[in-house]
Amino acid sequence: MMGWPDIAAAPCGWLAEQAGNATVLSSRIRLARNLAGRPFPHHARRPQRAELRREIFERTHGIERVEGGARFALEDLDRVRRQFLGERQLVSQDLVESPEARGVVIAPDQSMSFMVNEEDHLRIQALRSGLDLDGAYRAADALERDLDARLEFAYSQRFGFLTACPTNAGTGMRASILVHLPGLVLNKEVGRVFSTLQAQALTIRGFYGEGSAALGNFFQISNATTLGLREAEILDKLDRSARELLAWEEQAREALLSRARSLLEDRIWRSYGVLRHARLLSAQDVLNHTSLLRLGVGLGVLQVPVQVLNEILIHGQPAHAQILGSGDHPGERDAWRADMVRKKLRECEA
Amino acid sequence: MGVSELRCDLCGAGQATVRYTEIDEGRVTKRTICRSCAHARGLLDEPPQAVAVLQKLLQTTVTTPAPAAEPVAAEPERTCEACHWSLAAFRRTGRLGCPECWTTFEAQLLPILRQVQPQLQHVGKAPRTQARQAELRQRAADLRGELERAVRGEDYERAARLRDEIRTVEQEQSDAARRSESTGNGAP
Repeated sequence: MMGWPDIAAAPCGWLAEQAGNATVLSSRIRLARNLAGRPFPHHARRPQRAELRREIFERTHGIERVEGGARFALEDLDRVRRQFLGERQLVSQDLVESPEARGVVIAPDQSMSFMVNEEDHLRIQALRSGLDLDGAYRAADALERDLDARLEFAYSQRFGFLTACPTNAGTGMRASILVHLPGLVLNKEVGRVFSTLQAQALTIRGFYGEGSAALGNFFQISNATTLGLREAEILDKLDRSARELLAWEEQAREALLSRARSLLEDRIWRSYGVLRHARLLSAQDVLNHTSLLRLGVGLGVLQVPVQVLNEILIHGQPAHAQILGSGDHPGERDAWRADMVRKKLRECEA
Repeated sequence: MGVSELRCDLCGAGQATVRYTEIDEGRVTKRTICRSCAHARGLLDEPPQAVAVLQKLLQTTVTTPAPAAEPVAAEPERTCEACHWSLAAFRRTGRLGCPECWTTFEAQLLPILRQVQPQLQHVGKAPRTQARQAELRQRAADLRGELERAVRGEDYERAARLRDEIRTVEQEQSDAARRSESTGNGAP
């Protein structure tokens, strides 16, 4: 088993993949499962939840798919470390904020994990780079089968997998993509496009970190409903909507280019200049400027591997800078971040 | 990190660090709010909108007046026998107390599910125990068909073999049913 600091030093699996697409950052599948005959976590007392976590850890010991990875009781990690796992999307923000009697098991390549005592007893998830919902589902489904072989899931023929919240019943599946939409944002078409997506039973939310400004033009699109459709149908619907969305984004970018090419190119290169030469960068700077770089790559204005952009994005976040840069002071973190970004971009120029 | 003095649009007190866009029937509202307001609204967790929508629906259910035929105060407070979670607690939090609550509060759940889910019958994946039971049901049905054909063809030797096989499958079926009952996981 991997502990701290090994997990922080290990590469983040889904980031390391060769992503073909600059517009879709990641695809994620999350499956909610509960154990039969037990109160849901929010209704269980703390000792009961701790006992359930102990039991789940014990009974899932030795599952090959996660063997050699990490297993944490969240309260054993300080806030920064929990936040670090949150920034890698390995645990939810809820586990970062309230760690008591909660746990997480992470696969060695960090592309899969399951949380214990989140809103449901188990939240199984798999992440893939780019638009690859099927790949993410295959991974999550395989891990779910491993757990199913060792645990008794609460299930009814009518309502499927029984969850704490009725919005997750049936498949218990939330499929989502993290997508970068600067064209639609700059063209002020986001509201219209999102209304269309909502009519297709999809949920859209912005991806915002610390700081007051909107960050990075990232949005998360996920299925709004979980009961009454097969997993494959839900995935297929989301995948088709995603491709439609990508086409709209493409159109918006073309419109921007034909209307204001030099202005757009100037903004992209200015951002490149900031990232390539600045000596202090905040997490927000990184998000906003890499957003323009990502747009530039999509438009063929400049060439930076998508994988490098993804790394900069994840490593630039606050807890990553604090842990990887070992700087406790915000100023030190900004310096470390600028240094990390400069180095990565310089390597691409070589 | 840039220092921001923006105040929360909702409570006016906390430092606004979360920006979100609310889209309600095509009407877009942008807000900048503090973490605790965002947390309270479930925006930092997933699925953010689903929970908010559900709570809205639950409150609607609560405030909808009962049909006039009976006195309003008639219904006693319903509670789940397995976990003592109450209907009032469900309506307040939007969450059930345990898997058994799905049966206890089914009547109250249906109208809510109807508004948030496309269908009220699960059609996706089933856990291993259920999949095994479905497989056994199918196997028993197939064997009974074969048995009928064997009897009709007066192949009594084969019929006897099939009868034994059916008995074995039925035994396994009832074992599986007992196992799933003892874990509180039977079909409703």
